Amino acid sequence: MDPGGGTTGTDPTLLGFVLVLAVLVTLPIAGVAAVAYVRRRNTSYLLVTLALFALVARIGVAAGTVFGIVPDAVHHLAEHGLDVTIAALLVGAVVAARDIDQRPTGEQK
Amino acid sequence: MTDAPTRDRILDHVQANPGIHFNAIVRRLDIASGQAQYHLRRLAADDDIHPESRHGRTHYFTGEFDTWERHAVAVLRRETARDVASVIVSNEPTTPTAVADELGIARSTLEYHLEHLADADLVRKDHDDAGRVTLTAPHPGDTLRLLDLVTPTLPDRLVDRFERLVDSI
Repeated sequence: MDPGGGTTGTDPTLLGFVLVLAVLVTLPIAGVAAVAYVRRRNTSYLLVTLALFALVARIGVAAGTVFGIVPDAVHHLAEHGLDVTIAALLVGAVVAARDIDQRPTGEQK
Repeated sequence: MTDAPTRDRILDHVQANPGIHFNAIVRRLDIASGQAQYHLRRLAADDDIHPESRHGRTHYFTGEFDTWERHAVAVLRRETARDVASVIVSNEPTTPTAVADELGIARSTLEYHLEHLADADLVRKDHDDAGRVTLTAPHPGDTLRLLDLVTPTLPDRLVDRFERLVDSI
Protein backbone atom coordinates (compact mmCIF):
# COMPACT_ATOMS: atom_id res chain seq x y z
CA MET A 1 0.00 0.00 0.00
CA ASP A 2 1.36 3.35 -1.03
CA PRO A 3 0.75 6.09 1.53
CA GLY A 4 1.01 8.67 -1.28
CA GLY A 5 -2.77 9.14 -1.65
CA GLY A 6 -5.63 8.66 -4.10
CA THR A 7 -3.49 8.22 -7.21
CA THR A 8 -1.92 5.07 -5.76
CA GLY A 9 -0.35 2.88 -8.40
CA THR A 10 -1.07 5.25 -11.29
CA ASP A 11 1.68 7.06 -13.16
CA PRO A 12 0.92 10.77 -12.43
CA THR A 13 2.17 11.83 -15.90
CA LEU A 14 -0.17 9.38 -17.61
CA LEU A 15 -3.05 10.47 -15.38
CA GLY A 16 -2.35 14.13 -16.17
CA PHE A 17 -2.28 13.32 -19.89
CA VAL A 18 -5.62 11.49 -19.70
CA LEU A 19 -7.22 14.38 -17.77
CA VAL A 20 -5.99 16.97 -20.31
CA LEU A 21 -7.33 14.76 -23.10
CA ALA A 22 -10.67 14.43 -21.28
CA VAL A 23 -10.99 18.23 -21.00
CA LEU A 24 -10.04 18.72 -24.67
CA VAL A 25 -12.74 16.28 -25.80
CA THR A 26 -15.47 17.16 -23.29
CA LEU A 27 -15.38 20.98 -23.22
CA PRO A 28 -16.02 21.46 -26.98
CA ILE A 29 -18.96 19.03 -27.02
CA ALA A 30 -20.40 20.73 -23.90
CA GLY A 31 -20.02 24.04 -25.78
CA VAL A 32 -21.80 22.58 -28.83
CA ALA A 33 -24.62 21.41 -26.54
CA ALA A 34 -24.91 24.87 -24.96
CA VAL A 35 -25.21 26.53 -28.40
CA ALA A 36 -27.81 23.94 -29.46
CA TYR A 37 -29.81 24.62 -26.27
CA VAL A 38 -29.73 28.38 -26.89
CA ARG A 39 -31.12 27.71 -30.38
CA ARG A 40 -33.73 25.14 -29.50
CA ARG A 41 -34.76 26.12 -25.96
CA ASN A 42 -36.32 22.85 -24.90
CA THR A 43 -35.99 20.66 -21.84
CA SER A 44 -34.17 17.76 -23.52
CA TYR A 45 -31.43 20.08 -24.77
CA LEU A 46 -31.09 21.67 -21.34
CA LEU A 47 -30.74 18.29 -19.60
CA VAL A 48 -28.20 16.90 -22.11
CA THR A 49 -26.21 20.15 -21.82
CA LEU A 50 -26.23 19.92 -18.00
CA ALA A 51 -25.13 16.25 -18.20
CA LEU A 52 -22.15 17.23 -20.37
CA PHE A 53 -21.18 20.03 -17.98
CA ALA A 54 -21.49 17.59 -15.06
CA LEU A 55 -18.99 15.43 -16.96
CA VAL A 56 -16.68 18.47 -17.18
CA ALA A 57 -17.14 18.96 -13.41
CA ARG A 58 -16.24 15.29 -12.85
CA ILE A 59 -12.94 15.84 -14.70
CA GLY A 60 -12.45 18.94 -12.54
CA VAL A 61 -12.85 16.85 -9.38
CA ALA A 62 -10.32 14.31 -10.69
CA ALA A 63 -7.84 17.08 -11.52
CA GLY A 64 -8.48 18.67 -8.11
CA THR A 65 -7.61 15.36 -6.46
CA VAL A 66 -4.34 15.07 -8.41
CA PHE A 67 -3.35 18.60 -7.38
CA GLY A 68 -4.41 18.04 -3.75
CA ILE A 69 -7.24 20.61 -3.86
CA VAL A 70 -9.97 18.00 -3.41
CA PRO A 71 -9.30 15.86 -0.31
CA ASP A 72 -8.95 12.12 -0.94
CA ALA A 73 -11.77 11.44 1.49
CA VAL A 74 -14.38 13.17 -0.68
CA HIS A 75 -13.23 12.59 -4.24
CA HIS A 76 -14.81 9.14 -4.64
CA LEU A 77 -18.11 10.40 -3.27
CA ALA A 78 -18.00 13.55 -5.43
CA GLU A 79 -17.14 11.64 -8.62
CA HIS A 80 -19.72 8.92 -8.14
CA GLY A 81 -22.28 11.52 -7.05
CA LEU A 82 -21.66 13.21 -10.41
CA ASP A 83 -22.06 9.81 -12.14
CA VAL A 84 -25.53 9.53 -10.64
CA THR A 85 -26.30 13.13 -11.64
CA ILE A 86 -25.21 12.53 -15.26
CA ALA A 87 -27.27 9.33 -15.52
CA ALA A 88 -30.33 11.06 -14.00
CA LEU A 89 -30.01 14.03 -16.37
CA LEU A 90 -29.83 11.69 -19.39
CA VAL A 91 -32.88 9.75 -18.20
CA GLY A 92 -34.68 13.09 -17.79
CA ALA A 93 -33.65 14.12 -21.33
CA VAL A 94 -35.07 10.89 -22.79
CA VAL A 95 -38.34 11.29 -20.88
CA ALA A 96 -38.67 14.95 -21.96
CA ALA A 97 -37.96 13.99 -25.61
CA ARG A 98 -40.90 11.59 -25.54
CA ASP A 99 -43.19 14.32 -24.18
CA ILE A 100 -42.21 16.52 -27.12
CA ASP A 101 -42.83 13.76 -29.68
CA GLN A 102 -46.34 13.28 -28.32
CA ARG A 103 -47.42 16.63 -29.70
CA PRO A 104 -49.38 16.50 -32.94
CA THR A 105 -47.20 17.08 -36.01
CA GLY A 106 -47.82 18.79 -39.33
CA GLU A 107 -49.47 21.76 -37.66
CA GLN A 108 -48.04 25.22 -37.51
CA LYS A 109 -47.63 26.85 -34.12
CA MET B 1 -11.07 51.66 -50.49
CA THR B 2 -10.26 51.35 -46.84
CA ASP B 3 -7.19 52.59 -45.03
CA ALA B 4 -6.19 49.82 -42.61
CA PRO B 5 -4.74 46.49 -43.81
CA THR B 6 -6.80 44.61 -41.19
CA ARG B 7 -9.93 46.26 -42.52
CA ASP B 8 -9.03 45.14 -46.06
CA ARG B 9 -8.49 41.58 -44.82
CA ILE B 10 -11.90 41.60 -43.12
CA LEU B 11 -13.58 43.02 -46.24
CA ASP B 12 -11.89 40.40 -48.47
CA HIS B 13 -12.95 37.65 -46.11
CA VAL B 14 -16.58 38.82 -46.01
CA GLN B 15 -16.54 39.05 -49.82
CA ALA B 16 -15.25 35.47 -50.11
CA ASN B 17 -17.63 34.15 -47.41
CA PRO B 18 -21.02 35.84 -47.75
CA GLY B 19 -23.04 35.67 -44.55
CA ILE B 20 -20.04 34.81 -42.36
CA HIS B 21 -20.73 35.54 -38.69
CA PHE B 22 -18.71 37.52 -36.19
CA ASN B 23 -17.08 34.64 -34.29
CA ALA B 24 -15.89 32.99 -37.51
CA ILE B 25 -14.27 36.23 -38.70
CA VAL B 26 -12.42 36.60 -35.38
CA ARG B 27 -11.34 32.95 -35.39
CA ARG B 28 -10.26 32.64 -39.01
CA LEU B 29 -8.42 35.96 -39.29
CA ASP B 30 -6.96 35.57 -35.79
CA ILE B 31 -7.74 39.13 -34.72
CA ALA B 32 -8.95 40.48 -31.37
CA SER B 33 -12.73 40.70 -31.14
CA GLY B 34 -12.59 44.39 -30.15
CA GLN B 35 -10.53 45.10 -33.25
CA ALA B 36 -12.91 43.12 -35.45
CA GLN B 37 -15.86 44.99 -33.93
CA TYR B 38 -14.24 48.37 -34.61
CA HIS B 39 -13.40 47.59 -38.24
CA LEU B 40 -16.79 45.98 -38.95
CA ARG B 41 -18.52 49.07 -37.57
CA ARG B 42 -16.40 51.32 -39.80
CA LEU B 43 -17.00 49.10 -42.86
CA ALA B 44 -20.76 49.18 -42.16
CA ALA B 45 -20.69 52.98 -41.71
CA ASP B 46 -18.95 53.31 -45.13
CA ASP B 47 -21.60 50.99 -46.65
CA ASP B 48 -18.91 48.47 -47.69
CA ILE B 49 -20.62 45.70 -45.73
CA HIS B 50 -24.14 45.05 -44.54
CA PRO B 51 -24.76 43.33 -41.19
CA GLU B 52 -27.80 41.04 -41.02
CA SER B 53 -29.03 39.88 -37.59
CA ARG B 54 -30.82 36.52 -37.68
CA HIS B 55 -31.65 34.16 -34.83
CA GLY B 56 -29.26 35.81 -32.38
CA ARG B 57 -26.33 36.01 -34.78
CA THR B 58 -24.98 38.80 -36.95
CA HIS B 59 -24.03 37.79 -40.48
CA TYR B 60 -21.96 40.06 -42.74
CA PHE B 61 -22.37 40.67 -46.46
CA THR B 62 -20.86 42.87 -49.15
CA GLY B 63 -23.11 45.21 -51.14
CA GLU B 64 -24.17 42.87 -53.96
CA PHE B 65 -26.74 40.99 -51.83
CA ASP B 66 -30.31 42.29 -51.54
CA THR B 67 -32.43 41.92 -48.40
CA TRP B 68 -34.01 38.61 -49.45
CA GLU B 69 -30.62 37.12 -50.40
CA ARG B 70 -29.06 38.19 -47.09
CA HIS B 71 -31.83 36.53 -45.11
CA ALA B 72 -31.72 33.42 -47.34
CA VAL B 73 -27.94 33.00 -47.10
CA ALA B 74 -28.03 33.40 -43.30
CA VAL B 75 -30.45 30.44 -43.17
CA LEU B 76 -28.62 28.38 -45.83
CA ARG B 77 -25.39 28.46 -43.82
CA ARG B 78 -26.93 25.77 -41.60
CA GLU B 79 -26.19 22.22 -42.73
CA THR B 80 -29.60 20.69 -42.02
CA ALA B 81 -31.47 23.70 -43.46
CA ARG B 82 -29.43 23.25 -46.65
CA ASP B 83 -30.35 19.56 -46.84
CA VAL B 84 -34.03 20.36 -46.34
CA ALA B 85 -33.99 23.15 -48.97
CA SER B 86 -32.17 20.91 -51.50
CA VAL B 87 -34.62 18.05 -51.07
CA ILE B 88 -37.61 20.39 -51.48
CA VAL B 89 -36.15 22.08 -54.58
CA SER B 90 -35.48 18.67 -56.19
CA ASN B 91 -38.80 17.02 -55.24
CA GLU B 92 -41.38 19.81 -55.04
CA PRO B 93 -44.25 19.65 -54.43
CA THR B 94 -43.55 17.35 -51.50
CA THR B 95 -44.65 16.68 -47.92
CA PRO B 96 -42.94 17.01 -44.51
CA THR B 97 -43.08 13.22 -44.05
CA ALA B 98 -41.34 12.58 -47.38
CA VAL B 99 -38.61 15.13 -46.60
CA ALA B 100 -38.00 13.79 -43.07
CA ASP B 101 -37.83 10.22 -44.45
CA GLU B 102 -35.48 11.15 -47.27
CA LEU B 103 -33.07 12.91 -44.87
CA GLY B 104 -33.50 10.49 -41.96
CA ILE B 105 -34.19 13.33 -39.52
CA ALA B 106 -36.72 13.63 -36.70
CA ARG B 107 -39.93 15.53 -37.39
CA SER B 108 -39.02 18.10 -34.72
CA THR B 109 -35.69 18.81 -36.47
CA LEU B 110 -37.52 19.27 -39.77
CA GLU B 111 -40.20 21.57 -38.33
CA TYR B 112 -37.56 23.76 -36.68
CA HIS B 113 -35.70 24.26 -39.96
CA LEU B 114 -38.89 24.59 -42.05
CA GLU B 115 -39.90 27.48 -39.83
CA HIS B 116 -36.65 29.31 -40.61
CA LEU B 117 -36.77 28.42 -44.32
CA ALA B 118 -40.38 29.64 -44.60
CA ASP B 119 -39.41 32.82 -42.74
CA ALA B 120 -36.75 33.47 -45.37
CA ASP B 121 -39.22 32.69 -48.20
CA LEU B 122 -37.05 29.78 -49.35
CA VAL B 123 -39.88 27.29 -48.76
CA ARG B 124 -43.65 27.70 -48.85
CA LYS B 125 -45.91 25.65 -46.56
CA ASP B 126 -49.46 25.28 -47.81
CA HIS B 127 -52.22 23.62 -45.79
CA ASP B 128 -55.13 21.95 -47.60
CA ASP B 129 -58.64 21.51 -46.16
CA ALA B 130 -57.73 18.19 -44.55
CA GLY B 131 -54.79 19.84 -42.74
CA ARG B 132 -52.17 18.17 -44.96
CA VAL B 133 -49.07 20.24 -45.63
CA THR B 134 -47.51 20.70 -49.09
CA LEU B 135 -43.99 22.07 -49.38
CA THR B 136 -42.84 24.02 -52.43
CA ALA B 137 -39.82 26.17 -53.30
CA PRO B 138 -40.93 29.65 -54.45
CA HIS B 139 -37.50 30.55 -55.92
CA PRO B 140 -35.82 27.27 -56.94
CA GLY B 141 -33.20 28.82 -59.26
CA ASP B 142 -32.07 31.47 -56.77
CA THR B 143 -32.13 28.92 -53.95
CA LEU B 144 -29.72 26.64 -55.86
CA ARG B 145 -27.47 29.61 -56.70
CA LEU B 146 -27.28 30.67 -53.03
CA LEU B 147 -26.73 27.05 -51.90
CA ASP B 148 -23.61 26.94 -54.11
CA LEU B 149 -22.36 30.21 -52.69
CA VAL B 150 -21.96 29.22 -49.04
CA THR B 151 -20.67 26.31 -46.98
CA PRO B 152 -21.36 25.81 -43.26
CA THR B 153 -18.45 26.22 -40.82
CA LEU B 154 -17.24 23.20 -38.83
CA PRO B 155 -18.67 24.41 -35.46
CA ASP B 156 -22.02 25.06 -37.17
CA ARG B 157 -21.99 21.55 -38.64
CA LEU B 158 -21.29 20.06 -35.20
CA VAL B 159 -24.16 21.97 -33.58
CA ASP B 160 -26.52 20.85 -36.37
CA ARG B 161 -25.50 17.21 -36.02
CA PHE B 162 -25.85 17.42 -32.24
CA GLU B 163 -29.40 18.71 -32.74
CA ARG B 164 -30.18 15.82 -35.10
CA LEU B 165 -28.90 13.41 -32.48
CA VAL B 166 -30.84 14.89 -29.54
CA ASP B 167 -34.03 15.24 -31.62
CA SER B 168 -33.85 11.57 -32.57
CA ILE B 169 -33.62 10.33 -28.94
